Amino acid sequence: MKILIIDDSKSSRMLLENFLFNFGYKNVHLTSSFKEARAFLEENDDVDLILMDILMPVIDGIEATRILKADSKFVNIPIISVSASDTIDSLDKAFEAGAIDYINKPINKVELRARVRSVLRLKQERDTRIKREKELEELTKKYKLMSGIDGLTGIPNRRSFDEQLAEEWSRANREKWAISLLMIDIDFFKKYNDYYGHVQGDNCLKEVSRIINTKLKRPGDMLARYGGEEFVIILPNTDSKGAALMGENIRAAVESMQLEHKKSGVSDYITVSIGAASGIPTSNLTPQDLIKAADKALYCAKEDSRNCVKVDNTINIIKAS
Amino acid sequence: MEKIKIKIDPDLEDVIPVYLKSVKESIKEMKDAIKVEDSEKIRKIGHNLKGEGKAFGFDFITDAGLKLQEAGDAKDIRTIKALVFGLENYLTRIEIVK
Repeated sequence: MKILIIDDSKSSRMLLENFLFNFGYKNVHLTSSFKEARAFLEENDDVDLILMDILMPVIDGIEATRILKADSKFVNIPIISVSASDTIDSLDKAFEAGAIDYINKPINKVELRARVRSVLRLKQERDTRIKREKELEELTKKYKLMSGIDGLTGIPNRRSFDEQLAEEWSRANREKWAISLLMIDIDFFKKYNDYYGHVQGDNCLKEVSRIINTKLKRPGDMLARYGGEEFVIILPNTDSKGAALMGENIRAAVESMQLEHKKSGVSDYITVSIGAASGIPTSNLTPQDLIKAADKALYCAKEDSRNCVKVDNTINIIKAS
Repeated sequence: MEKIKIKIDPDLEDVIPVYLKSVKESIKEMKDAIKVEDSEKIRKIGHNLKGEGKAFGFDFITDAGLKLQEAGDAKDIRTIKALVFGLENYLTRIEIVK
């Protein structure tokens, strides 16, 4: 247990250190001002408790507590205020600033031991709980990744997409039919995030994925999150004409949601740019060629006017020549 | 003059001499403050003495600290002089016992 003492009086520091040492706390550090303590805390992220004198020159203990509690790096370190100011006012201020407990000077040894012990026990319990929560969060993330679902939108993730595309590609090869891909990108999404904040940005991603999903009618069609604000759709047994039609349906559906986007360069609402590519698999083509072609078409849509659908028809022609 | 016996906490045995030295320094600082009638300085020193004396086993110092703090507040130099004299006298009379 690492304890930090902040007190401008040398004898008070000595007294506290001695008592704590005799209680069995051997890892006690002494500082004489908030400035010194702050430097120590920046170097040591494992402090379990701070004993803070209230009456100190320059920055007093109340102000120092307030500063530490406003900083996410230190907010979880419990602070016990120690003071000879036995007025209700200073006690009130200490708690208001974020102190967890209060000890009056002159220090009473038994009281000091009881309060330090109880605060450290609380800290330990909280640390254990935070650790468990983190472990659980990691497990959930891992589980979601393993299950192939994107945590935010609930649709298949990139890994599922890669697997599904390989499968559909083989099937198209066997059946000799065309397979299409739609690459979808939300227009000016970075600006949306910057302006509306990440929480709203996440909500937007969820809404867009939800509306796109409603446009997929056949069981074999698959929408996945490709990464960031990019989505991808696999359309088996679909030629470029069908893909363009589906692309336009989706583009119009997103636009008609009328999700406000004040920072968009093309509309007052959220819109998407879509690149489509289709091809019949041959022995010298891979799924990567289809992805590249759809990506190229998406690039053209972005270069053109955005909020539009562009189709790349070159995939079989290029490879055949 | 009769000695005042102070029974101290064995945990504090090593730090008591350092503490008493700091009290002597405070007395010196207060004497300087009296000369220039700096009662605010007296108030602060009184506050510190009040906060520490009893914890080291010296209830008298905590009581004197409180009175010095109050006298400092009231800018009552005459009382301050008497209290500082009393405190200095006290330090010469104490005898530490374990």
